[in-house]
Amino acid sequence: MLTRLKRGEDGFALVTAVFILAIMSMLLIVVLEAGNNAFSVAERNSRFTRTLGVAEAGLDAAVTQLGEYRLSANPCVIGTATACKAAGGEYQVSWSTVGGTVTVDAIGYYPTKAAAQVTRHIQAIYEPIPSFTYAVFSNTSIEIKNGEVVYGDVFANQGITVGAGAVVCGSVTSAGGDVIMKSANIVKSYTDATGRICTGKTGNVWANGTIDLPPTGVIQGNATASAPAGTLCNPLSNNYAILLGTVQGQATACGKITSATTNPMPGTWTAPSPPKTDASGISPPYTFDPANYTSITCIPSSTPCDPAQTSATAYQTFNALPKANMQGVYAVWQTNPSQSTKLDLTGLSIGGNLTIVSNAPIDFGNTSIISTSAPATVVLVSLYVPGGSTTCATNGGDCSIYGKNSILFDTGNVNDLDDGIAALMYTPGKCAFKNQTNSADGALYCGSMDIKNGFHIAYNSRIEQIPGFGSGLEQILWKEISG
Amino acid sequence: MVTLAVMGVIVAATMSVLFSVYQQTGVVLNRRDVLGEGQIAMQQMTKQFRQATAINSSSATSLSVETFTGPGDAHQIAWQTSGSSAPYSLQKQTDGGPFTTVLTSLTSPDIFPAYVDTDLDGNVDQVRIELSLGTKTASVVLTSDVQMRNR
Repeated sequence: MLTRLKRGEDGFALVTAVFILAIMSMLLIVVLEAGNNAFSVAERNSRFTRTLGVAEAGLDAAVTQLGEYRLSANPCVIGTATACKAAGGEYQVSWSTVGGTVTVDAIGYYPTKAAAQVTRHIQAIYEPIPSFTYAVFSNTSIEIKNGEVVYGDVFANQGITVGAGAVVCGSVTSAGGDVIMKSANIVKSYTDATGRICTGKTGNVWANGTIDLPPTGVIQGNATASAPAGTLCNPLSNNYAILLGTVQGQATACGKITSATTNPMPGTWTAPSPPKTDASGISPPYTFDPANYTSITCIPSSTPCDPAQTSATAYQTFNALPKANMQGVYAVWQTNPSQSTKLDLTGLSIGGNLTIVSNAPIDFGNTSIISTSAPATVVLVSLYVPGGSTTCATNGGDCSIYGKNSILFDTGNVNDLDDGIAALMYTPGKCAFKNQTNSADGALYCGSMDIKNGFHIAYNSRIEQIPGFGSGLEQILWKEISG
Repeated sequence: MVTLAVMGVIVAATMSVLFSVYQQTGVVLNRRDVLGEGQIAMQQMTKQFRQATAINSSSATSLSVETFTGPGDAHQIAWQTSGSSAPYSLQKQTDGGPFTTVLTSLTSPDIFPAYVDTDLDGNVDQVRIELSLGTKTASVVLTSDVQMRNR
């Protein structure tokens, strides 16, 4: 009996050991699974974060492509099977253009689109980098004629003359010459006879040469007479000097200072403003890209609108169009453009945003008042560059943009920047305006210009971003759609 | 007798291990829950602040922004901490509505210790989020520097 009982206990230790081993194994599995779970969570977070980088790589690639060429082909369109590779994953992008605004969608996939474990979709909106910051810009010299009033900044790559009675509410910068003032004022704030208010400007004058004021001339901001690098400054020299008048801010000159001012710094070298120009002869350069425009009237007709497809009768086709309540985008490509093939804007009135781009000269003809039925931006671009030996003056000549009958753009309420017409007149060639009382809100950018007395120009920031100017895009909005 | 003694030792050891595991499981579960809540809150905040178009108000304990939370226009979103001593609560508000509690295990109320203007344009474009999470056994800090893409 005892022997049987003893025999029955045999193997008890083995059963116990197996039981304990089973418990220990279960515990080991629990511990390992806990560690594995923590690792999985960390890895999932890491992948989620990395996929955002992949999607942003897609955005960056798209913007780089679009900056180079707005019509560039998209190698990995959203919704197709093709994806582009990026560090740590793949992406697809799509973009659309409305006016100059580009909307780019990008989807990042980890690790690949075909076997995506993580997906993130982001969207960014881009606009052209602001290109027009001056009211008046000339690639050569500028003469602000007598009685002219400019609200905004003035820039010239050569010298600037400001005529008697003229007022610039803003700054005056000459990158390559003197600034000569004749009983004129450069002010920080001003209100003209129409009640138009200008405030918050610098009133600065910056010359790469001498600032020559009449005894009554006033500069409300700083005056800086810079000199080219290497110039030996002399506080007694008439070169690079600030002469006569009054400087209410800081006066700094490489030469002498005879202006009435409280803290003169004669004999002090400062670097001149760098010139703003490029191979086209004017900055910013213009690049015609039909993708910048949602719809375009191309003369002669071509798809996409191609400046190389010209016509000997393009100007006639354009001039035959009605000019009342004109709106839209017109691209006119003339064979052998000259003054005999100019675009005639006689009778122009505005019915909405209007853009006219041409390689031919643009002439306002008998137009005087340009009215509008709604707030509008008017962009006139003439890529016509007259020969160097020709002249373009207030009486006409070989001009790229010319007006003779006191062109008055409808500015609406003079103190409302959002109504009326904001106009940009742009040419790398020459422009001229005859007769007094020309007036416009916007900006005038010409290779060279001759403007009769009394032209009033008030800068309007509605024209600072115009499609086709400047190659870069600026991100204005970034948002994550999902993920 | 020997067998019983050995069994007693083994059972005692096994029970001890089981009891310890039971305790540790509680610690692990607590840590998992606290960290999980913290990570979800951190992901929400980083995503919302990354897209912020404007900062309405900011301090070390609260941040209110205009941001996107889905399709459509931007919405007002605010995050803040509440409580007078640890554990502090993390709360969220949408479009001026009531604050709702997201987690309750913060050991420090200062969850936005730094606002940085990285491009020196006068606008804050980077915010540091620091969630100091108190578990049963330790404090774990989750940190994220969020670059605000729209500023």
